[in-house]
Amino acid sequence: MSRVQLHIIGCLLLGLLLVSSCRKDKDNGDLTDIPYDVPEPYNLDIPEGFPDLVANSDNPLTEPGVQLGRRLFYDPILSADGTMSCSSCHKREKGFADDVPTSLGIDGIPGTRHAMSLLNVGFFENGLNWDGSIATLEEQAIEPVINPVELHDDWGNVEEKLRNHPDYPERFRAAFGISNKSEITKELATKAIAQFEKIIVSGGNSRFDRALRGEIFFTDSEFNGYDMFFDISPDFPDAECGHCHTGPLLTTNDYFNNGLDGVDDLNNFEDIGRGAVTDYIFDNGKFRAPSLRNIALTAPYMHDGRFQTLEEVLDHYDSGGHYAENLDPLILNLGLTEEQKQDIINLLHSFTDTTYLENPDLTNPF
Amino acid sequence: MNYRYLSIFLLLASITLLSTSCEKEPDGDVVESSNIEVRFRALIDGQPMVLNERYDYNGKDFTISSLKFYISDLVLVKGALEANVKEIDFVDFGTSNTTAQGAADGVVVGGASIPLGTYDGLKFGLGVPSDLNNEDPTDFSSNHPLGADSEYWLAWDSYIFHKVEGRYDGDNNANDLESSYVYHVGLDENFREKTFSNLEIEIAEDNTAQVVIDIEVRDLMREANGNAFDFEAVGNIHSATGDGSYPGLIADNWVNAFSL
Repeated sequence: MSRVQLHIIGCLLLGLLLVSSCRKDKDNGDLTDIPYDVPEPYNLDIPEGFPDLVANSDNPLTEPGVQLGRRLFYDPILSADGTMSCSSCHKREKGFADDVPTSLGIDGIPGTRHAMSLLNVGFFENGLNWDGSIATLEEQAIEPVINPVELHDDWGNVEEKLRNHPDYPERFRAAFGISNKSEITKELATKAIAQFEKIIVSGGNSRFDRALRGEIFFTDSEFNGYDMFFDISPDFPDAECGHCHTGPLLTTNDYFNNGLDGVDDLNNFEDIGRGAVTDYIFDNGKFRAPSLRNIALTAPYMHDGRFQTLEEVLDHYDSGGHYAENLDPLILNLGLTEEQKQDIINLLHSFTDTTYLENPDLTNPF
Repeated sequence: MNYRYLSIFLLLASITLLSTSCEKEPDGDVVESSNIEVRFRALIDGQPMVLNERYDYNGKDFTISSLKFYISDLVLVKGALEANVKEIDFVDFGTSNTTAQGAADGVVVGGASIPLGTYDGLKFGLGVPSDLNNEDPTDFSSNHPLGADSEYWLAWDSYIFHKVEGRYDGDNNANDLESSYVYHVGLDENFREKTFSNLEIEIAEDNTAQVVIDIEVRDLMREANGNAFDFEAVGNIHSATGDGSYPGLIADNWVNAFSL
């Protein structure tokens, strides 16, 4: 073998070694060969009069963060058997709520509470979920993945699926600047999901909003409903709605016993709701007053989805509810006529604003 | 002057200069102010009121489930001078009075940087003064006392200055408290001021002054003749237009319910 041949063989061996070493880097999850730029902030269009998003300086909204969260939200990769995603129970066309009283998880087991609407969830102070048990959206997104009656996976497994996915590692790098696949964690995944959830904003274009701005007139029926809802004049009964459903989000973000279940003893609620969070017995049976924006889209209603229609809801409130010692003092027998109830229902329909459906960033990317 | 005397002279001059400069600092730099805590306690018959506990009301059981109010322009008075303690704050006994200990502790409204001295009076507004009452919660951050949607009533264009809510045994069968009462009052015309005079409140350096103001809850629910409200007749005072003189009467009751 000549010296020239030896030289060529040596070069080839060196090349093989280099290629092999490059491949090893990929196997090790290195992502540094993917260009990285500081993420662009996501410009969220917040309706006039809305509050600021609940601040989280640790997780600012960015374009790649929101887009990553959007994919994770719609991707069944988060469930153990790959059949369900967040969007399975938070349906976009249903105001990001579910259309059944309590959702079924991947094992066909129903949950105990109705999947809440996520519209405007990024503005909600005073805890999340029906009982306020979770403080932030980032924390909230942890639970459904591991809950046996929801996606029933475990985060270690989900992290591995995301690390080995052909697309996600690059998206995590773009969103969070990670340099190795091993840095894909549940904390970053839930940050991204939270970013997406914060852009689920709806408001400003409903008949209600436009009437308050003087751009259109309420119908007579809507106006009568408005009068009763907010106790404007003594010409109509006070339906007491505005005590819990007011402000730009049409909620006070507080917790109430609205008389759904009658109990002689406050320990006897089937679901003690807020009481389990505060450990204060007079909070038993209390649940969040949800936002009424787009309420006509998010049936069924209440924490357990017991009412299928707004008519049933109005009948409940008109009745004064069922007695418990902590029944809210403003849950009263209202004595509304059928026409007055319909007026309030028509007002509730005026809260509908479907322009969020036109937001391409909220659609299923798959 | 030889070298030894010159050294002694310079040393003495330096010491004099230093001590003079030390004396000057207190005049210019020391902050002559301190802090105060005004503690509000809600009482029933002179004892701390625990929310949702049953008390007697004209021979029937009743509870208070909610008790809250806005306090504004809290100032200490010294002759013609006033020292600002707090421009606006929200006192919600729901944050304290769910236990006996919490009820005994009450709710504290604190103030800082009060000029040192002995003050002979204290006064505050009960409710939201008209300039701030022209705003609404969207004008404030959610953690500001005026940022809570729940404390603003759209139809009045006004904050709800104070709330008292609870349940009572309307049918007197003692098993349940099937009836409720609600007193919400707002609007500029129902804003009131409370003044305490002939006091001696010492704002001293390195000490947080303590003032305790009690609210007798029963006094919030009295007719002009001093009789307790008949809940059946005066159960829900909320409408600005349909409740006659009761919003004003309840606002007056609040003023009279405070004591030191």
